[in-house]
Formats: sequence, C-alpha cells, structure tokens
Amino acid sequence: MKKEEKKIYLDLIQNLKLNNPVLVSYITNFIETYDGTNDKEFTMLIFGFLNLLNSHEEVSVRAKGFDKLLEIRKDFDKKLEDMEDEFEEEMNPMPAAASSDVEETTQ
Amino acid sequence: MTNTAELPSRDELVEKVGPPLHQEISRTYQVSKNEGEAFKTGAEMLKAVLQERGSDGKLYDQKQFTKLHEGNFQRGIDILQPETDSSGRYPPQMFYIPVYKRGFLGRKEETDEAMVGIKLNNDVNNPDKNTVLMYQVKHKNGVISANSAKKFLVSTEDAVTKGMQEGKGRGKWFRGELTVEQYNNKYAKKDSKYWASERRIRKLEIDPVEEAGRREEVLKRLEGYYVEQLAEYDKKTAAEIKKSAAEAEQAKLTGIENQRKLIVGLTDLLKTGVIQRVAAERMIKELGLEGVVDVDKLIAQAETQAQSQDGAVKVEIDTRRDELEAENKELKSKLQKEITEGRKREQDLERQHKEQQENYEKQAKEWQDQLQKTQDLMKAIESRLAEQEKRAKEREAEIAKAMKDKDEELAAQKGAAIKFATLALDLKNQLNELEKKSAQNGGVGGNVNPPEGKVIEGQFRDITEATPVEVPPPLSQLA
Repeated sequence: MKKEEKKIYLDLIQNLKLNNPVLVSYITNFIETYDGTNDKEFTMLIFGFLNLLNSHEEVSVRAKGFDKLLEIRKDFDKKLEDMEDEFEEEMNPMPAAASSDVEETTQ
Repeated sequence: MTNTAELPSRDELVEKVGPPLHQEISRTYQVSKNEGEAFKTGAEMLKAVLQERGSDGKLYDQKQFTKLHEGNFQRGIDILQPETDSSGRYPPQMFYIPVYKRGFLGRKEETDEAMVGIKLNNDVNNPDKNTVLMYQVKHKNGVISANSAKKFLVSTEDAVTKGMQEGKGRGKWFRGELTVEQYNNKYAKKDSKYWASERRIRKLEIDPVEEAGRREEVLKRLEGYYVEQLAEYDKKTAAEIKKSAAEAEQAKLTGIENQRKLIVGLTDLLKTGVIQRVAAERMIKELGLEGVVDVDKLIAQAETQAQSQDGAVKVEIDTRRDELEAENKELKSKLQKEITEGRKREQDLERQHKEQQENYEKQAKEWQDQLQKTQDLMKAIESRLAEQEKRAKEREAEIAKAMKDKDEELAAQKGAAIKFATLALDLKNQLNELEKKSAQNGGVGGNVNPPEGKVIEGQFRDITEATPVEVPPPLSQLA
C-alpha cells in the first residue's frame, strides 16, 4: 500500500474527534504497519472501525450517565436503610434487637 | 421382604451417589410431620456430624470450631474455605457465634448460649445450594452436646453470609443476636440489675398511649428526613439526567460531524482512485448514510476536485513565487539594516576601546606615582630605624660599661669587707693568745688585763659574730 494512501487514513483519523486514545493508537499503528495488498477490504475495515468508534462515543456517554444514576439510587437506598435502622433503634433502645422472623424449630 | 443387611450404609450411599443435595435436605425438613420431629432430625444431624468429624463438642477448640464474631461478620462464613480430605471429598465445617448479653453498665459479656453452624459443603461451588445447619445451643464452659440444641434451622451458605453481613430480620438470629423478649426472659431478669431496672421503668412508667405517641413522633421526624432525602435524590437524578442528555447530544453532534469528515475522506479516496464506486457505496451503507449521501454526486465532486487540481497547483506555484520574492526582498532589507547597525556598533566599540585604553594608562601612571611615593617612604623609615638601632646599641654599650664599673666597685667593697673581717679575726686570736700567756705568767707583772677588757672582748665578738654582709649580685645579672 502506498504511503500517500495511508496518509489519507491517518489524516482522517486525526481530524475526527474521538475520545478513545488507546483504540485510536491501535488503529493508527495498524495502518502504519499494514503491508498487505487487499486495499479495498482494508479501506472497508478502517471505515467500519472508525464508524464503530464514532458510534461508541455516544453510547459511552449514555452508559456513564446510567452508571451515575445507579450510584445515586444506591446512595438513596443506603440512606433509607439507615433510616429504618434509626427507627428500630429509637423504638427499641435495649441492647438486643426487637423482633425476629427466624423460622426456627424449637424443641 | 427387604433384607436390612443388604441395605447400603450411609457412607456407602455417599460414596455411590455423593452427598445429599440442599434441595433434598430442605425438602426433608419441610415435610417433617411437626416441629418436634423436624427438631429431632436436626439434632440427629448435629450428632452425626460431630461423630463424623470426631468432635467432642468443644467450641473453644479452634481445630473443631471456627469462631465468628462481629469483627469478621462482614466476611461471613467465607472465611471457612472448603478443604478436601484424603478421599477427595469436602468434609463438613463447623463454626460458632457466641451469644452476648449486656452486663453491668452495658458491658458486653458472652452467655452460656451460642449459635453453632455446620457447613455441609454438599455444593461448594454454589453458595446458594451449599447447606448450612444452624443451631442455637447451650454450652457449659464451651462444651456442647447434640442434646443441648435449642433451636434449629436449615439454611444455605449464601443466606447465612448475607444475614451476618446485614444483621436484619433473620440475619440477627444468624449473628447470635437475641430479641428483646428472649433477652428479657433469659438474662435481664436475673443477671443485670441495671437492665432489670430499665425494664421495670419501661414496664411500669411507659404506657402504651405514650409509646404510640413517641412512635408517631419518631415517624414524623423520619418522614421529614425521608422527604428531604427524596427531594435530594430527585434533584440529583434530574441534574444527572440533564447533564447526561447534554453530553449525549454533544456526542451525537460530534458523531454527525465525524460522519461528514468520513465522507470527505471517502471523497479523497475516490479522487485519488484508491476506491471505486462499488466500494464507496458499501462504505456509505456501513456508515448508515444510505439515502443521505448520493454516490454520484460524491464521484462528481471528487472528479471536479481532481480536474481543478492542475489549475490550482499553477496558481499555488505563482502565489508561492511571489511570496518567496517578497520574503527575499524583506530579507535583503533586513540584512542591509543589520550591516549598518553592525558598522555603527563597531565604531562605538572602537571608541569605547580607546577610551578604556586611555583610562588604563592614566590609572597605571597613578599607580606608578603611588608606588614611587611608597618606596621613598619606606626608605626614609628604614634610615630612621637604622639610626635608632645605632643609638640603641650605643646606649646599650654605655649601660654595660656602667654595670661593669658598678660590679667592680661592689667586688672591691666586698674584698675590703672580707679583709677587714679577717683582720678582726686575727686581732681576736692574737688577743686570746695574749690573755692565755698572761694567765700562764701568773699575773707577775702581768696585769695585762686592760681595765676595760670585757668591753674589748665584747667588741670583737660583735664583729666576728655579726651577720655576714650580703653582697648584692652584679648589676649585669640584674640586668
């Protein structure tokens, strides 16, 4: 493959606003070291990969937001649990707990 | 009729079909006719396990039972890692959790009860199917027996671990925590005057209406807290959704922009002939821009760019040439300016050098004059010092001479004194001789005693016995 051709791909990647330097470095390295002859399939691969990366950006942002929402929910649940404990402590200040729902068998 | 002798033993069954599954054990427990029967089954299982492990029921023996307490509840029974025996099976593992009570001033003390757990290890890879038998037992100095079991429960490793970590509901039982009722009935009444007093106060002084009021008060307070937390949760969630939406929108816009750039790249590839129409169509399809981007237009655009490229290159060369000429002119002008400035700087430097040289010469002359003056002064000082030295030597000679004269004078005086003393001694001796002779002559005509002979004798004695004259040392020595 000609150097000029590779340069087209590399310039294109450099111009894209991709926030994944690791994957970008993989693909640029791959382009620089490619010495095959199947130019058409190579071009398809590069464009397919770049399109995938491009789509990944939006999905990644949404996933991050979803994780953050889960975290907020977890924090809220923890506060509710603390509130339950506080209620139990307030109503049963004795050293042992107030109730037991153990399904034990007694002699 | 079944011959019991032909029935396989428990060990043989285990060997043949493996340990009983949790489902089987649980099912047996659930279909027991009544609680008493279920409990009996549980006690028998405890007995069987103790026998199989060769345990004598010593809770405090770490080789038999692992102690779990508040400090390691978070790890739960995970700390009991299953180990294979010589036959490759996973034998049951036993642990216990002390049951605590509050002693005087709320101090924590172990009671004579404990929660004993037996992890059967019938499915070590699936904690939710690994059976754990839990017993509440009574012990005496840490020793239990199968008959000491009070309560019994069939559970799983998963459930027990979760119960220990959470400590709620059934978990309290797994953690060995007593209910208020259990505590009051077993310990508060007889073991702790403090808590007995508390209990009495609670029983006698708090009426149900007041208790209900307190409950309402607590609930109201917690409700306020809940509303606050809920509002905060809503606020945080809304903010995060807004933020995520904005970021996603931005990412979407970036994605669209990137797709445009990919199309530009595609055009470049078409233009340079790297790809053909079919490949371009496939790529547009891959990019999801089918119907949005027209391949024909793209090819036409690429061809237009390629055709206009020659003309563009010519224009570019002309432009570049003009730019180079302008740069050249500017460089020449700059160079001329620098040469002029360089000459001027050179003249300035020469003038400065000359002035500096003059200054150096003037300074050197001043230093020479100063040196001459200093040398003259030194000569004068040397001359004066020589004269002073000469005078000092003369004075020294005079003093030495005077000292010598004085020494001689003193020596003469000393010699005279010695001579005089010698003469006095001789005279005394002579007089003594004369007295002796006069005495021998018997006084005939020999009244030679002088009338004031004593006086004379006394005078001689005074002279001979006088303190010798101290002769001062010569002046030369004093000097």
